Parts: sequence; C-alpha cells; structure tokens
Amino acid sequence: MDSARTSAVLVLKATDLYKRFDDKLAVDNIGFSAAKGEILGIVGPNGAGKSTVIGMLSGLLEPDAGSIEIFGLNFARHRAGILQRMNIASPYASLPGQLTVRQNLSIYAGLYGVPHPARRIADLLELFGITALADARFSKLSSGQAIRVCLCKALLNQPELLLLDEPTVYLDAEIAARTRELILQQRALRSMTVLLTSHDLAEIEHLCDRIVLLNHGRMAACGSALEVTRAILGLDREHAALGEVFALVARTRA
Amino acid sequence: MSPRRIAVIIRRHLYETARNPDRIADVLFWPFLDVVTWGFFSCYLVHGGQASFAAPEQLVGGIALWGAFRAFQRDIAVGFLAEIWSRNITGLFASPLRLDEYVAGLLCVNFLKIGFALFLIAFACYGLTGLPGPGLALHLLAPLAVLLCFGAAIGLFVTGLILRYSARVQTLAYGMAGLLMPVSCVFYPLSALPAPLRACAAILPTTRAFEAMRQTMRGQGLPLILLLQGAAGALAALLAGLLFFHSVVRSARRSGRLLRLD
Repeated sequence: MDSARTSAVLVLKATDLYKRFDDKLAVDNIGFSAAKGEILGIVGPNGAGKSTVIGMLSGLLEPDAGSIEIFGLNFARHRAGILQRMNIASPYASLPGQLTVRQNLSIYAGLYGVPHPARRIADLLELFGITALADARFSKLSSGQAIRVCLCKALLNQPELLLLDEPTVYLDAEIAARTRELILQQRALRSMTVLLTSHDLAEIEHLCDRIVLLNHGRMAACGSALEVTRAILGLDREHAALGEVFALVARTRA
Repeated sequence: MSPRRIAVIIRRHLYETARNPDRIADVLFWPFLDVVTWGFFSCYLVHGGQASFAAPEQLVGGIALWGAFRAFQRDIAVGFLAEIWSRNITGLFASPLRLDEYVAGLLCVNFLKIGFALFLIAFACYGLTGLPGPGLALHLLAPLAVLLCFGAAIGLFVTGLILRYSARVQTLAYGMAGLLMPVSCVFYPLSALPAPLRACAAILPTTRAFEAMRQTMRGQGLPLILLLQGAAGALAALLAGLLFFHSVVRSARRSGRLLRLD
C-alpha cells in the first residue's frame, strides 16, 4: 500500500498541525496525507482531536501552526477555490428548517455552481431514497431523513474530497448500511477521496483503507486497521482488532 | 465577488421570509400597523380641532423612516441569527461562499424587503388615512438612503457581537436601534434635546436624516449639507461595521467559535 500511495496523487497533505484552545492542547503536531480515491478514517476517543482536525480541514478553524495542502494548493491561500471542489457532512451542521428539502439543496447547488441543479438534486434524492421528501420542510424530517438530506448536500458538487463527520450516527441499521455502500460506490465511480470520523469501529474497518488514530490530540498510529492494531497491541497480531485498540487507548486516558 | 453566490444568498433569505409568518409580520404587518395607527392619530389632530398641530406628515414620515431603519438593522442581524439557529453556519462557511458575498446578499435581500414594504405601506397609508403616502415617500428617499446605510452598519456591528459572544446577545438584534431612538430626533428637532445630549445626537447620521426629512417636508428644499453630513457619517460607520465583522470572523476561525456557535 505504501509504495502504491507514494505513486498515487496526493489529494490532501496535512503537516505538523497544532492547535491550542486556551489551556488545552487540542491537536499536537499531527501530520497525515490522503491519496486520490482513498478513504481515510480519523478515529479516537472523545476529546482526541477529531473534530478539531475536521474543523481545520473544512476551513472553519485556523491551525496555530502547520500547513494544509489540498489538491496541491495551500489551503490558507486558495481557500475558496479548494472549497469549491470539496464538501462536508456533519451531524453538527444542519440546514434551515423553514426551507423545503429541494430549496435547501438548490441553495447549496447555487453556492457550489452545480450545473443542471434540478437534475442533480433529483438524482441524489433518488439515490438516497428520499424523493418523496423533496417538498417537505426540512424541520419536519426525522433525524435519519435529515442526515440523508445532508449527505445529498455533501455530494451535490461531486466533490473530489469529502469530509464525513459521523455520517451514519442517527441512521437505522438498514439505512446506515445503504449509506456505507453509497460512499463506497461514489468512491469507485469518481475516485473520490473521503475523510471519515466515526465511533462505529465496524464501519471504520469496513470503509477505511487507512486509519489515523488520535489520542490526547496526538497521532497514536496510522495505517491499515491491522497496522494500527499491531502498532498499539503488538506486532504478533494477525488480525485487526480496533475494539481492543480503543479499549487500551481509553484505559491509558483514565 | 460572485454575483451568482450573492443571488443565492438573496434567494435563501427570500425563501425563509416567504415561509415564515413571523418574518412576514416583521416586514409588513407591524410597520403597516404603526404607520396606519399614527396616520389616524395625525388625522385626528388635524381635523379634530387640534389646530396647533400642523405637521401630520412629519409624524408619519418619522414613523415610517424609523421603522425602516430599525427593520433593516434588525433583519441583517436576524438573518445571520437564522443561520446559527438552524446550524447552517457550518455549511455556509465551509462552502466557496466568501464573507463579502454573504454580507452583500444579506444587505440586498433586506433592501428588497424594505423597498417592497415601504411601497405597499405608502399606498395603504394614502388609502386609509388620506395622507399623501406616495408623495411623502418621494420626499423620504434621500434621508431613507442615509438611514439604511447606517442601519446596515449597526446590523453588521450587532452581527459581529453575536458571532463574538454567541446567540446569548441576540436581544441586541431587536433592541440596538431602540437605544439610539431618544438621541436620533425622530419626532422633534435637535434643539429640543437637553444641551449635553445635543453634541452626542448631532454626530449621529440618524439625527441628520430626520432633520433633513423635516426640512424637506416644511418645503425648504433638499438640505444637501445635512444629507451629505449624514451620508458621510453613515458610510464611515458602514466601513467600520464591515471591518469589525471581518475581524470577528477571523478571530472566530482562530478560536474555534465557528464550530460551536449556539
């Protein structure tokens, strides 16, 4: 994988990221990269620094030190151009409740300059099985339906880099499984790069090519699920065991 | 700046206004009620034997202009608050939308709303009270421009405070204009204020605009000096408001407030 990654096109390269909030060091010297078409999981216990990293990669938070390059461009200097080619979905981000699903999506299609927005919106609603909700007010949706609309919004501009913060957190098992398959399908179709955070370890193992394990704002390990397992639990391990990894990391935090 | 993205922000807020009865009431119903109520009162004073009262247009003009100023200031701040209330701010700030485009969209949509409301209210005023509403509106255009410019400045300043201190200070969105009302000389001349307050009131663009309105209505022609003084003050305040809002957004990106606004 490493040699393949070396020759692959790097979509994202974060170097020596550092962020402090008052007296708390949230992110301490983190660096990682993601290649075109790769799904990279950012995982760790609560307070490990996942949201801070996602915040920095989405332009909502400025790092105190370090640099972020996306599509080979410096994020701080080419913010708008880079954001045009990426998107984000997070359970902490929502949409105006008074607007209908279609109106909300058409607003974001306009912001991203999506060509043929009506067709694109119809396709995405169909993909997520929520065509019947197109003219419903966003505030009337269940949390699972709202998450699916936000995922539609995140795919509107056919992003080359997609940031997914807990994408299946409020979805029932069936819809969550379908959403995971859609993520894999979109990656396969367009070589989309995905950065994903999740507390669902099975989901992480199922979706992610590589994992960045954060703990106390530092990078504890990086690699495939098996490589992370070996880095934390010992080189003699033959199978990925992220559950054990998390349990050990949680114990060291206590 | 992208005109397309500015137009999208205008559309986003028009959708919200059209679907939100509170917003429709704020834009049309309450201003209409104010103007018509005070229009009837003015008619009573003129035709009901209070011969000393000779300027009903000034009272109604003051009501209409003050309402427009207050609504413009409030709706800029409330427009931004709507993004916080709906947790839409993350999506907007993580999109290619630039801050200036967002502000331009917000100013444009509120300008459209105020223009539409004043147009309807002017004709309703004429129909219900007999006061020359549309003619009155023409007299008010220049002072209105000064007031809207200053209202935008105050709106941006309040929006910056909301971003800095979160929605805990959202009451400022509704009350900030009210703080300026006593010293803005909406219904009385500057000379009516106690001497210590006069100096403070005289520097406000609102005071200049209302003094200009009264002079125009008294048939003394368009008071260019007053209007230019008001416009200069309002433009300076607007520039300061824009710089303040920009600096608060930069600070919010550094401190992480954009991630946890509520």
